[in-house]
Amino acid sequence: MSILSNAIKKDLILLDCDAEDSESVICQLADILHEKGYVKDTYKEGVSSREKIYPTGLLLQKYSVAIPHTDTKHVNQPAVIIARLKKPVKFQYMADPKQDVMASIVMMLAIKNPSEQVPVLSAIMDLISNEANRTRLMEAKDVDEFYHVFTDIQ
Amino acid sequence: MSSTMSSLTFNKKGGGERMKKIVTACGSGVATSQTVASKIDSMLEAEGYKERVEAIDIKGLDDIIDKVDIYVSIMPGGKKYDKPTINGIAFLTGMGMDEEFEKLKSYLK
Repeated sequence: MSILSNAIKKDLILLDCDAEDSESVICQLADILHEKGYVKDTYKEGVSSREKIYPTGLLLQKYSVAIPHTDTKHVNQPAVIIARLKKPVKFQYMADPKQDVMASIVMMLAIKNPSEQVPVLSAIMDLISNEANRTRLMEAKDVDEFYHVFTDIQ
Repeated sequence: MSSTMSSLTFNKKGGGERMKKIVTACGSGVATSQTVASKIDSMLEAEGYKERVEAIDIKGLDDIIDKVDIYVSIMPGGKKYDKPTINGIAFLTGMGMDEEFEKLKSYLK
């Protein structure tokens, strides 16, 4: 079974998330994590302010991705929440903050214990760096189909 | 991984040469840098290299940069160091990764 079967949760997948900008995506996702108890009320501000200094947009072919996250002190319990956006929103490129990245998928990370979660993040990045996988995510018809992209891999 | 890295057993190469110190850093030292480090570690391991990448908080980088041999940069927009540098983002996105890994190996020679 894939390491991601446990890490990715269907109730933390949002398809066709409607957002005007990166701030709005971060707010929506942070609110859900907070409601479900994964993060503290300081998490949203933590992610949002970190994003401004150390942006997390990853420029990829066709569909780009952003992976906003913040310090462990804002987190109660590890989680990965994923939004597929109705229309891409602008993040800044991690490698060059002056460059815009129009992200189609946002994976926000609530990291509690880095050493335990790095294998999960590595698996996610391996998956997401593959264009065919990103296309499957973008074309998935429902949450089940989207989820299976993560769990199908070895 | 790093737990098996005893300084006594691995800090010397065959000829007693010091093992090169590879460091990467990101804003919180939490997710990005560790993910990049873990990816590079697995690639180094697969090719029989003993070196491993240390992920640290960017704020601590100035303090140790003198001891660093190779810097894996995740924020090229940030401060530049007079050290052999490779692009760490490539190991997140896969784009240009092989080239950067070749570069890293050339620095390890």
